[in-house]
Amino acid sequence: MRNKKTRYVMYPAWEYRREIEDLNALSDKGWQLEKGGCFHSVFYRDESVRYRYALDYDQHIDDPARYRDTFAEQGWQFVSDTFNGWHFFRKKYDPALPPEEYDIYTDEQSVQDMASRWSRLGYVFGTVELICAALDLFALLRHPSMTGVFVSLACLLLGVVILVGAWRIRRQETAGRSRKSMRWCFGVVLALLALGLVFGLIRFEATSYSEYVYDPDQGPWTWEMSVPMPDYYTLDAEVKTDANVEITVTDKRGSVLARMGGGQDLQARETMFLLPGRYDVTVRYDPDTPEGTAGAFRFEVD
Amino acid sequence: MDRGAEPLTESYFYILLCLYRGPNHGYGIMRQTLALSEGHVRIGSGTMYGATGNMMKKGWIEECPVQEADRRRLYRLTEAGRQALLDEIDRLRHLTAAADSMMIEREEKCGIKRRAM
Repeated sequence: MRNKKTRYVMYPAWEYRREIEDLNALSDKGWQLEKGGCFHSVFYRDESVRYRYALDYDQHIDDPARYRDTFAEQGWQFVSDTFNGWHFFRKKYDPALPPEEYDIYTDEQSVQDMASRWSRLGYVFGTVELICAALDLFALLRHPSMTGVFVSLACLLLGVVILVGAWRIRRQETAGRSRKSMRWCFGVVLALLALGLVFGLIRFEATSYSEYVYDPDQGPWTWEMSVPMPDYYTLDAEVKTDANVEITVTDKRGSVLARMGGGQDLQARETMFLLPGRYDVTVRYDPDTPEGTAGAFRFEVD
Repeated sequence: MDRGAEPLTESYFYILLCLYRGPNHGYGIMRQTLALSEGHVRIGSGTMYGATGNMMKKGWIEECPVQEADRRRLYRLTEAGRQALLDEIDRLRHLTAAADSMMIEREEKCGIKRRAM
């Protein structure tokens, strides 16, 4: 039988009481916490003892030695702490003692103080997320993209969830109730971030950069472009030639989706919504312009 | 008495009250508080750390030097802490006196028998 196990569970800060309940339940089953963390926790097997756990939040402990000594005086063992200020303690479980024996905060004032330490951080972080969402939305209006939609929505939801969480942790008396909606929102945020990441990676694959020397004597030059997923794409073209050229994007049925060009030393951007499939980007020399020779052009699809 | 001072929480009050008897450590304060309040007030470790830290910042209590081997922190009351405790006791006395006078007046007026405390 395994003597150690790692559990990958993420608890939002406002659900720290649920984390304590889970740690207590695991201890009753013989799994004792060795190291608590934000993203994963490590347990070791010991069925000979049962513990009750406590979680405290304080990022700036004035006197760490006095802090741990004060807990030790009442029988609390320090287990571990996290980079962001959570401290795990445990005490041997004695069924004869009342449940209050395992509370580390015993008056409303100190519970509020603990809660406000986290909620202050939550308000700042949540506000920053909302500002990021606003900036993302602004960028999205200028350069539409599906990745941008997911990232903006994720930032927006994350900001709202953190702000609501900060408000709830402050109102400690309601923190234990109807948390399912918060869990659901948290799940949606993670799903949106994951989707944004997947879309971003695929789009990164689709991005191409090319540089060619175009010889007008050889007639139109065509590049076949593959689009893996529906999204907004921007064709960024830069042409240097002594003759007028025209760039068109057409689908396989021959419909022209975008047309750019006309002048020499052309620099143009064209954003279009493309469905998955193959498209032709064609560069055509304008024979009506004065004598043209060779030219170079570059285009980038993003 | 400084009437502008914030009322003390029960935890703060009992910590000062316990230290009024003499220096004590956190666990001793917790046990004494439980006894004095007849089991109604318990001071957990988090509350104790926060309250003692705040009271040290206010200058109401201070740590006593202890032997290296003893990890327990010993606290004692300062003069400012003694005054804060006495002020709070005055405040509470004033409150109970006001309540008593109102009760007595009502009892005499309406003939209501006061509930046993």
